Amino acid sequence: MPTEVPEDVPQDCTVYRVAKKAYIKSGGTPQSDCFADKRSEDGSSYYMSVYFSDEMELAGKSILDLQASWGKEYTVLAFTASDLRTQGERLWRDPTGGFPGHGACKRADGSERTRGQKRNLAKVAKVASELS
Amino acid sequence: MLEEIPARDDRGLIKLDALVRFARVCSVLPSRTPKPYYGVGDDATIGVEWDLGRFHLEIQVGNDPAVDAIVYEVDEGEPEELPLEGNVGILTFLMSRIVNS
Repeated sequence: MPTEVPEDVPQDCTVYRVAKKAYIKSGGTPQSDCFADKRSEDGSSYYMSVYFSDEMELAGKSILDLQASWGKEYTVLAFTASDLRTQGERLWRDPTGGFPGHGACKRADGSERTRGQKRNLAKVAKVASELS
Repeated sequence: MLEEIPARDDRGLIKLDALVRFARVCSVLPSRTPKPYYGVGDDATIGVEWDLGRFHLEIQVGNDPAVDAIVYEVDEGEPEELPLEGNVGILTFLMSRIVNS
């Protein structure tokens, strides 16, 4: 097992996004609302929080651990880093001292994600197989 | 539809002005419009969406009117996106065609 992760997130790394269960539609696909950037309380950052599987694995954490850390109102959606970059997103590691593997996702050009771009992410994302 | 949004806005992100603009949009939808999926994004936007057979339709209204948008899609194709401003008539037309088809 590797003892560290590369700074650049590998293309095949699974990227998790925590979303409210209420925002998963009856067919099992997420609403576009799940994919918005969030401004930090001090206003210093504005991005969509994600979690990287390689760091989670290194810390011995599972998807179930991630879901449990957020609570039963939440589920976990999965993409690959390649899926997100293909959609024009940029990824970077952003450890917060909380749950391991925290990272950030934002439009590569720094713009705010449009509704259509959120929709495209909703079409790619799947509820993590461990939870479906 | 208007009653659902405050319930989804558990962090109190949505400003009154955005709710008023959302109400204006809802008022032009046909009376037979099916119940949509509702949401409030972390970016302080109201989102509603419909999966209606071959068609998918979404509206977004935010605190900043510049992010207000209509998104529609046919047969899981590429989403078409229009600003809501100036295109509310298209929304009415699309929904009328979908519910009557």
